[in-house]
Formats: sequence, structure tokens, C-alpha cells
Amino acid sequence: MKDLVTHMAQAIVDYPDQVVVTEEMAEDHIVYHLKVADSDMGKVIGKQGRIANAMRTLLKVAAIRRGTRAILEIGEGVSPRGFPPRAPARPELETRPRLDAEPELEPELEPELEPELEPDLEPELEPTPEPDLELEPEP
Amino acid sequence: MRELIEYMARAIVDYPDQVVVTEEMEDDRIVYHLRVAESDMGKVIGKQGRIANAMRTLLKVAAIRRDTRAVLEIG
Repeated sequence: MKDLVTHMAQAIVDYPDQVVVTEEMAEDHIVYHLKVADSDMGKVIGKQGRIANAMRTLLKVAAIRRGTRAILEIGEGVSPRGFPPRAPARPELETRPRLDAEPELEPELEPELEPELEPDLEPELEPTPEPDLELEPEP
Repeated sequence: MRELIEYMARAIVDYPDQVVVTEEMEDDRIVYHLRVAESDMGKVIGKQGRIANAMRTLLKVAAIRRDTRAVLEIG
């Protein structure tokens, strides 16, 4: 299935030799991380994640056929769907020690943390749809 | 691009050796015909054509990258 992801990505990017797919076993599924040249990010994600989702659809079926489950993540662990990666474990872990250290701030910390985290994720997501605009003229 | 279709189809069917892709030039575009085992037809099409459309989406982008147009026909 790693080959499938590699093949799909290489077919659509400008720099096929910069396509790197790594796989990681999670409990009951395999996580594939797809990395491509920065300038190709838009191509593998596509407008509103259409291309990423097409790859995911095929990967999902391939996984089912093998009696397993697979997830495709693109770039640095950020899903192109606009959500943080499926395991929001990191932000939570960062929060906990702080709460322990400064118990008085507990009620205030949460609202403070949220706006901090979102801008972190967005800049990575924003540029993605733009490069794909070049592809749009084709109906 | 033919390879891409073969690869995608073989990954999802039960009988990969029965996957046959032929291509045909038609004016300014390439038409790919994908044939699979009968029992695999549902797999390459998918509910409401979702899988077929996923393959078409990727094929379209691959074609654009090569300054051409491509169509995928199944069956």
C-alpha cells in the first residue's frame, strides 16, 4: 500500500523524486505519511482536499482488501481537511503540566491556549489550495 | 498514466492479474479503458461511483501535469 501511495503521488507532482512515503503502525491501522516538495503540496492536496481525499478513498479500499485500515497524512502531520491531526494528544499534553504548575490559572488557560494553537495550524493549511488554482482551468 | 490506473486498480481488486488497461487517442485526449474481473467491477466503481471518481480525479491531475487530457472508462 506504501507503493500505491507513492505511485499516486509521483504521478501528480512536479518532483517525483522528492516523494517520500513512510509508514507507521498504530494499534489497528497503518498511518502513511506522505511528504512532497513544498511546491507540490498543493498538488497532492488539491482544492478543498479533493486530491488528498481521492488518494484516501483508494487507500481505504486497498486497506480493507487486506483486512486492515490505513490513514494518509500529508506533510507535517497536518490533515488538509482543516482539522488538526487525528490525535490531538500534543496540545493536551502541553496543557496539563502548565495546569499543574499554575492551578490558579486553570479557568483562564483553556481560552488562552485555543487561539494560540489555531494560528499554528492555519498557516500550514492556507497555502495549500492556492497552488492548485493553476490546475483549475481544466474542467 | 496507464501505469497509474493499473496500479490503482490492482491495489483494490481481488484479481489483480485480470486488470487490463488499454489506451486510445481521441482528438486531444487519451481514453483509458479499464477492464477487471466481473466480480471486481463493484470494487473499481464503488458506491455511487466514488472509487471510479477518485481514480478519475487522480488521472485528471496526472494528465494536466503532462499537458494533456485523459478520460477513464470502466468496463
